[in-house]
Amino acid sequence: MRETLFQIQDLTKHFISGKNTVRALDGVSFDINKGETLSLVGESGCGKTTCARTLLGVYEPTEGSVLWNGQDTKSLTRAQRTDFRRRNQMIFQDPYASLDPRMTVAEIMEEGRRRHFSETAAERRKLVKQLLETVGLTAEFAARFPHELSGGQRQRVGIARALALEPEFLACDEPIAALDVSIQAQILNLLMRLQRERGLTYLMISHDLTMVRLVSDRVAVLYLGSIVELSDTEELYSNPMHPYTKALFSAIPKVEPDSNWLNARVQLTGEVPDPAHVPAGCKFAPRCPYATEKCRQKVPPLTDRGKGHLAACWQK
Amino acid sequence: MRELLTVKNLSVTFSAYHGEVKAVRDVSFPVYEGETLAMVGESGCGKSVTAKAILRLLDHSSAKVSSASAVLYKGKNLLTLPKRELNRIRGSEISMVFQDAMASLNPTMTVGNQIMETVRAHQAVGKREAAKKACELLALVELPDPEGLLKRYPHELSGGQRQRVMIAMALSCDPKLLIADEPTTALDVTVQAQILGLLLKLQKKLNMSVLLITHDLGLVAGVADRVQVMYAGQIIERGTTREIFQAPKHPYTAALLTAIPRRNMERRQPLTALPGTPPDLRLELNGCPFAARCRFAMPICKKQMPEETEGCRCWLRHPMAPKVDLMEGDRDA
Repeated sequence: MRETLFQIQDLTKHFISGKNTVRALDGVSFDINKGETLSLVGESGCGKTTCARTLLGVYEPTEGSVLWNGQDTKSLTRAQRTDFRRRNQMIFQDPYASLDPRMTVAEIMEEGRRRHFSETAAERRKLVKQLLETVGLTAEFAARFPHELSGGQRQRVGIARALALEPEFLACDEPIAALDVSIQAQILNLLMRLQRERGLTYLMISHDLTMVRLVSDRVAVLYLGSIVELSDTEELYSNPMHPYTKALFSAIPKVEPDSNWLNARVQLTGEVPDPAHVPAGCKFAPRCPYATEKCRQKVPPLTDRGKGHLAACWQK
Repeated sequence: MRELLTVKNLSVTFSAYHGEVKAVRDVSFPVYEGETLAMVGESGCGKSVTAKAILRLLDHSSAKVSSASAVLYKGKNLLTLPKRELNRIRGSEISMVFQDAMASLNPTMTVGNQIMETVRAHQAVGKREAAKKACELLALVELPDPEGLLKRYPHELSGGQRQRVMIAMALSCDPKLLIADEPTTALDVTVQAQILGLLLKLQKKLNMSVLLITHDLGLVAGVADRVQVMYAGQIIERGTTREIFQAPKHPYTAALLTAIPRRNMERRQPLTALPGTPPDLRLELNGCPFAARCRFAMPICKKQMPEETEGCRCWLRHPMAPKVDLMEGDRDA
């Protein structure tokens, strides 16, 4: 049995927007084990990013708790909190927006290092050089500014910045979504290699289901702020149980000629409802082809269907 | 099949402060009646510029279309046509759908007024009739409650709904050719499938041709009849969708196919990634633009761009070139 790094219990994050309460994250519970990759998948607005940010303490949770190595993150001392921030890092989707345009690559990478480690400037410079090589760049990139780099190179800098703090855990928020196909594979290979070499734990956030299948140990499917299905990757992809998961999987374009995926897919009508006006009962019921009266009234609980495969659906 | 539109020797350069960018380099291709032609490539390969050049939508102050270029439609060259005649074709015979529906719709006008504006620009109809037509169009793109929707503003709609409105506007005059520039890129997967399904259904119903521009090679299987792959401003391979997916001839096409995670891969199996990045388009490219990233590159590749043979521009197609397995390393995995 693997050690648990994070235990997320009933985590909830609501945002107040005018008169409305946006229920971005609505009571999710799951564990993240050391050394694994857990992926959160779902469409935009389903709460993937909110989940990662609340987990890392960027947002204060509305309800629920995050246990890190068994300790509630709310009860961390000042020193422990600093340590928590260093050891748990994030990689962002948009490599253009997440790097300060006025800083050089070296400054970007050294900033956190100065805060958390006491070392000489020469030591820091040496580390920057090493890390640039680790992520597939060269030492000469240290003096460049973000606008001089391509999207793939910026994402490598984003990864190097996170690695500079010697983290154990990386929340990767759509790390390849903004990149070109031929560059996506480079970054994905890099992330997989780093995990192997450094024993990192990943929380991968993505809407790209084929990519998720390749990199994840377990996958959680989110819909409107709730987990509708959570399982081991192979089990989930070969035996999806929730109608939403089935629809999501069938919408993946098949990279095969003459494939009839567009017609063969589970057709969903409509779009994800606004999280400020969440439907009663099962949130997916208004779009679900199998919904019954019960679904519209009572929220189905996330239950074990065997082999640790959790699904939240009234249908058997 | 009859040619509906022919692009001939299209070259487009942009003047930027750091020099001339040769975005499209002598591109020629036909679009046949009733077909879906997919133009695939990475950002900066010139696919959108080609599409915009067809309808002369490029910014005059920075873009220059070479005088040797021609876009032939019904015997007329769209690139030299007087503005007034061009406007009769634009939007009514050839129309376009863009990636970002929010940026392409007018935020200060209701959806109804925008569609009616388009209808009335091309057809001599009164307000009431235009409103009726707008309603029919919204129903055609399968939007619920078309009448209520006419009075709504773009910001009140979801991304998928906005893209449907864009399609409705594009179809308002029964075009013969619809150019769809990344129509689903900004959308979620389930909505993406809905919009693509809708486009194909409407294409059959209205018997039009579709030029689908996308960066996502995975999207075109099961959607397009033919595919052409662009790289650094040139078409480097073209063929039927079946040919491109089953037996790609160009190493770049093969690399694009092997760089996508597939269902039969082992967990954490490294992808066959392409090294490097596309070339700087400010430069004159003498050899094949892909040579620097190609694992099969020969000395000749860096010196001279090969001619097209069997729909592919690659020296490996030369009868005296060595035989290689483009998907090698991927098949045994």
